[in-house]
Amino acid sequence: MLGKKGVYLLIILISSIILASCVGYIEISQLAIVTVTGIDLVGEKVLLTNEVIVPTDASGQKNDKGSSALYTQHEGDTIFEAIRNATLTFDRKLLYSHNEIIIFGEELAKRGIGQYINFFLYDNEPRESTFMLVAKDAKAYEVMGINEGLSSTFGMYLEQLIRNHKYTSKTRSLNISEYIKYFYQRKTPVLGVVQVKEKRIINPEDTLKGLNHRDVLDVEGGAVFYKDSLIGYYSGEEMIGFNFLVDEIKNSIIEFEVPDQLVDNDNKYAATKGKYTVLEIKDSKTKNTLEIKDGKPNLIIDVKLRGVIGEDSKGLDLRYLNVLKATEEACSNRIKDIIRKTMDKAQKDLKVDTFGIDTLFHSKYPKEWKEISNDWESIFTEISYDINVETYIVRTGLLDMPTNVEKGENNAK
Amino acid sequence: MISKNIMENKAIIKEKFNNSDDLILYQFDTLGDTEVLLVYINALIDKKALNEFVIKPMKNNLVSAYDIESSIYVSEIQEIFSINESIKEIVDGSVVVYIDGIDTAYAMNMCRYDKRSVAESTVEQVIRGPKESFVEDIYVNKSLIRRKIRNHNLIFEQFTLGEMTNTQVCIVYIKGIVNKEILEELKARLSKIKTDAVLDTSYIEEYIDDSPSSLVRTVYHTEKPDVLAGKILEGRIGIICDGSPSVATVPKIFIEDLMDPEDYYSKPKYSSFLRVIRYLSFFISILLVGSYIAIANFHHEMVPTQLLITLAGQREDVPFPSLLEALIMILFYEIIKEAGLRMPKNVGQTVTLIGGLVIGQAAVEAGLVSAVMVIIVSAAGIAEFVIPHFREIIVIYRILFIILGGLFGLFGIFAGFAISAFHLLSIKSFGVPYLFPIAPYDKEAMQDFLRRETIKKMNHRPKYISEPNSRKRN
Repeated sequence: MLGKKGVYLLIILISSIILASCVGYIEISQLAIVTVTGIDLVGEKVLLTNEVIVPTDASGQKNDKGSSALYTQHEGDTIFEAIRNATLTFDRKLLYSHNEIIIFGEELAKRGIGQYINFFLYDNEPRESTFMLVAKDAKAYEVMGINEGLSSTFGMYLEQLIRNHKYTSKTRSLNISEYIKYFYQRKTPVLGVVQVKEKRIINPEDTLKGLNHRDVLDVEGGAVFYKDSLIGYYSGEEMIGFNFLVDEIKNSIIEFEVPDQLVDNDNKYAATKGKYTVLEIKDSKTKNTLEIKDGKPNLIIDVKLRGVIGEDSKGLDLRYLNVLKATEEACSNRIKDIIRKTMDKAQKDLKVDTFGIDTLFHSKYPKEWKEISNDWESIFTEISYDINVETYIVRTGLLDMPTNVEKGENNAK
Repeated sequence: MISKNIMENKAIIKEKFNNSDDLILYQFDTLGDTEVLLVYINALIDKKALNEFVIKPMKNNLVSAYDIESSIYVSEIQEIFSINESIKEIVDGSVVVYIDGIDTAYAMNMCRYDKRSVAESTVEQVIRGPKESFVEDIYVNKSLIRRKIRNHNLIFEQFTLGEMTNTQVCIVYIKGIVNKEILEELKARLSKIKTDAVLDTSYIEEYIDDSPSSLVRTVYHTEKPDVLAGKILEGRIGIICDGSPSVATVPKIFIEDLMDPEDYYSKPKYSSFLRVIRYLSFFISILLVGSYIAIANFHHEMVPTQLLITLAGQREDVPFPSLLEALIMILFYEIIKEAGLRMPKNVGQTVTLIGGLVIGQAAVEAGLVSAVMVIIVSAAGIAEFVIPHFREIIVIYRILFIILGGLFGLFGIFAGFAISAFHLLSIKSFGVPYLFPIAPYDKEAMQDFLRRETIKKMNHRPKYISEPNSRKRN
């Protein structure tokens, strides 16, 4: 049965529940459940915008307003004061235990977010798993309230967008505890971003209303911080490179171009039509190693990934080994390209090390690190690197002979 | 002492029975001019047999007073030397024969009265396995046990308890398996009972219970002969009480209430699954309502966001605090349950109808209770019926945990849980720790705990309960 270890484990589990805080009896019906918090600056004061869930009534129908959330705004010198000031204008006590997302306005992010996340770590209610986002080119409250998804509130809609990051790797999810970890290790956290984009009108009713577009949220890209201030953004593609460098690629896809003029065994052209081939990554592993060569640090980036061909517009007949090898190589080159672009951006434009290479340096050359640690950012901009990518195509989807091998005369080369 | 003169005896007996109308004193002369007096209670005797096998041969054949045993056709005959003893035999349903000229009387057991026939148990039901159950009559019950265990080591020991009722009580055990210390202890406790009435086994249970003030019973009871046979084959001792269809067994440990005879009639893996269901039901029925209130009022962060929103929506219009809401629901649940049990069967449907409609539907629609609370309370209620033996504990403890959870949150729940666990740990039943085999841990007995091993592999008798060092033969 359980055994001694199991019993001890059980005791620890039980006592952890006992030791959880127990003071404070509040009926659910006296609480306002906050799901998103937006933080902005108005002059020198903090402007807090909260999304509060409107509890549906007992039979599960929505209330008359038609929306299941409302937004409250409060000012204060500090976050805590703003929250307490909320009780002056809002009837219920705000419950932050279920706050999933904190959005920082761009202006505030540029001035530094350090003192504003402080509250979320001191207080017992907020969770450390709260996602952090930067509202790109906007105030935090400007992106709030937009819901173009199936979820019932803006907060749930945005949360799902963040959780979808693994499908594209063009953004990232970062919560408070991860931020703190990165912050203390590297001083250069990269947060997710959110911005408002326009969506074409599809519903005729909207046209009748005179709308010419609807707003939709977009979380593509990443916000780069140095210490606690926003210094720039990564684009979607640069985020793929970033995710490769910090080894956070999961199920995303890579688009690449296979060179023309490939021939199969019968000397027929194997790849002639179309442009892109798409690889769906099944798993990927990045290993960064640093070594000092001739007194200069050199970074070696080894990426190994396995994937499945998901789409192909060139008509590649992957049953031929040379075609397969060429495709793999094309994919590897494309990834090298992406990583190089991200490195360029970090070294030349942003001039900060967002990939944790300093940690590598520190652990491998502790003595040298002491001498250069104050100077690391300038050393990083000069660092040289080699990228090795190994791509393995494990399957070609469900087809082994693509539908577009046979081409019309006009397209054949 | 019995007088040689039957007229004297007759007068004494008449006086002792206060001239009760159902006492028959029949005096006649036999063939050899011997005067004979038959005394019996009218309603208890098989009169046909009395006429045929006692009176007829006596009148025709009896010559001398000393020939009595050879002249009548009764197997259960017993010599009696005192008036008090003969009175006891008469109330037990014997015919007592006094013969003029000798100071000995003879008691013949010719008891016959109406009794319920052996039928299927209505309380402990099984899909597969023996279905017969004990009846009120002790002789029938004994025969049911004898038919299960055909062994000369099966021993019945008779006691008479109750100063007024003179109830026959019988302990049954198997020599060689029973733990002698427990047997001695039980006999000592039974002999200490001084009471007027024993109307059911539960009267005896209260006298021999190790912890009469606790909610927990340390005596098991069953209505099924196969269950009793299983228990005494493990070394337990059965206590049969005349007039009661439930037979008690000692010693009893906690897990017995979570077992079911059908566990041994089904495939082991399936039985083990059912055991898990029963253990879960035990905790659900006691802790679910209390934990819900604790979490909903103290630990909002523990609830998944979506669920919290749903709960908040449902509680929005409820006027009472959730602790009060739960107590009201539990109160009405207990009332409906009790009504359903006590109502005559033909009006029972009304109770279900009103209970279901009023409590379930109308209360939610009127916004007096939240739908979640109805679900939680009924889930706890249903779980209770999975383990009927624990009913007494569950009902009280559930209310305690609701109050603890409502006042102190999960801290209260776990503190209450710890205290109840300590209480259970402190109890013993006839020297056997109540929480055996968890505490003290016993590897062999664990084979029949959460998981039931195949019968072939369970070749140990439970420690403490049965005779030390005895092994099952498998």
